[in-house]
Amino acid sequence: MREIILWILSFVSLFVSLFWLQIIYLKKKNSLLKEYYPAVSILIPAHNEEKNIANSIKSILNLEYPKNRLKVIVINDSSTDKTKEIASKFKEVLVIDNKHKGIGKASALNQGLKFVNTELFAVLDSDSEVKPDSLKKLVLLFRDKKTAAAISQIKIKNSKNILTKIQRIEYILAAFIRKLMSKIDTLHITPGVLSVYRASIVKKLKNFDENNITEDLEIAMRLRYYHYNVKMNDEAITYTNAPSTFKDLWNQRIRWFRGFIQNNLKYKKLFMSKKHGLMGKIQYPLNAITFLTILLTFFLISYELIRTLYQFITKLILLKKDIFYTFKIPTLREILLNIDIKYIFPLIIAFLLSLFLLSLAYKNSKERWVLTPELLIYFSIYPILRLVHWIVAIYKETTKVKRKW
Amino acid sequence: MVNYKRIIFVSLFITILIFLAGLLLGLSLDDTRVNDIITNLNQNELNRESYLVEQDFIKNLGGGTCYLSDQRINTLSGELTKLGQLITRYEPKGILREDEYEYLKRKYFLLEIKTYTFFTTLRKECDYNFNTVLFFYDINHQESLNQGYILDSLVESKKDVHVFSLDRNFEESSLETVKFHYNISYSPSLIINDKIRKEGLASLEELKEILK
Repeated sequence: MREIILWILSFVSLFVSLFWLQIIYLKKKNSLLKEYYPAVSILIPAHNEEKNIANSIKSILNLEYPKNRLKVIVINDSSTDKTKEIASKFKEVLVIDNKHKGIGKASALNQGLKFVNTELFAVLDSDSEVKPDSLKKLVLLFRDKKTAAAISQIKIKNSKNILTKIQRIEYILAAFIRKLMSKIDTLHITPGVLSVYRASIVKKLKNFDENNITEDLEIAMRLRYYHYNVKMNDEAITYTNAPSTFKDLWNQRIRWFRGFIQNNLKYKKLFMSKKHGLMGKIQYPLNAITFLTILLTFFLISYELIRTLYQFITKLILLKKDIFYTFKIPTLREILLNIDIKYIFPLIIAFLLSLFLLSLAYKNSKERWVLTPELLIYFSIYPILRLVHWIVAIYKETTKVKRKW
Repeated sequence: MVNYKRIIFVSLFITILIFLAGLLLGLSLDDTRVNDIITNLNQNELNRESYLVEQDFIKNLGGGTCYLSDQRINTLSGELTKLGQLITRYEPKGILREDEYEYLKRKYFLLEIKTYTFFTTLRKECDYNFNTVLFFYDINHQESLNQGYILDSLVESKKDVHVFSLDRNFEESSLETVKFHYNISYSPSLIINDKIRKEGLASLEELKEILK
């Protein structure tokens, strides 16, 4: 059984890596035209962000974009600190209060949408900052009338401790994969760290879902479901703060992963749907396979852990202090001959391919690819932490624990 | 127009190729494993034969037949234990080698019975004070596995104990004779120094007490 699971895991990892590898080298016409400045409203929902809100607003005001084509709206989402006062100091900014009682950001965004009368609107998290040229690069994608949303490349600005440094690697890889998804028209996420939307389409689809804990994933999947395009311009750069403590990371990831399950179930009709092109035939099945892989990995690791622990305890009970006689250090030849290469070889190749993909992702993000302790942790311990996040998220979703934003 | 079916087909094809390469590598590594077992088997047979030739020579030309150093006894037994471990570890990793492993296992069990008989004779006819344990086990049987842990630990802590492990369900006529001789019908079962018969799990303390 364990061998079959190992084979399935390595098969899936290899197939997916090889698939994306071919997409990288796929040539596609770049039809972006220069100089296009449609009117854009920037929505900044903020809840107790007195430390960050000023920087976010300043980065928006510094955008290389005609000021008469920009409207900045800060939605104060029941802040109990000085967020509203700080935002109100900027005369270019309209500050409104969110009086809705939905869960999280979606209700604040819907409140803000009432004040949007421009062709496009952008969403910016209040702890994020944008590069001056990012908006003008993103709006170019809206030349295509089928484009309903466009996203930027997110970079981490607070990569100070080991946790944020590891997340930096994650973000680099995520940006690369999103770019590839955009290339084959299967991108289905619009992160809060600067995503631009076509207002008429979002309003037509009845705004953001206030009962969803990952409204950014939900709206993107909804856009896909209704046959609209979501695009990425990875030259548009935005910066955000990553969670710097285990607790914050835990809360964020449980929310993200629960959102992944919730939304993939909500749009399950996409699975193998011919009407939805590659989104239905490739991306959704890949999401399902990813989910299956996570479950299989969990069962495999749990089985091995329980088996090893059971053997150890049995030996301890049977042998007591004599247990030490059973520990022997194997020779290199013994180690090599004990490896079951028919299972390990595909896994090794899959691992090398993922390293290669990561190196390409670094190149794409114009970052230096060096062997660092965080990279080692990213490949060794971090997947276990991610697995725990996933399992807790699955548990909470199946036992219907109340969703919190 | 991008042909995505082609991309999927190529990914699938290369994935299958890598899996096949893994199988081929596994096959070649299996050769090394089988050779490893064969080398050990041959070495063991040679060592035993070497002693028999030596004994024959002394017997025919006059002299004591009870000549075998403790070191040589330990070597013979140690090599046999190692051989058993090799077969146990390598067999599940074998690809299309069931018959070959079955043959090697048969040879190994025969060698175990031969060596056990030889050691028992030495104990009876000469004044050796080492201990022999004949261990009958069942595969995939937790109690047999636990007995194996205990015996492994015993052998490591008491160097004068020589364990001969036999799969109770292996089809081999000489093994049937041994089972019949000792009236073995249960696993795990132990025959200690050709005299004491123990059925069921024997604890480490119990065995240490018997083999004092």
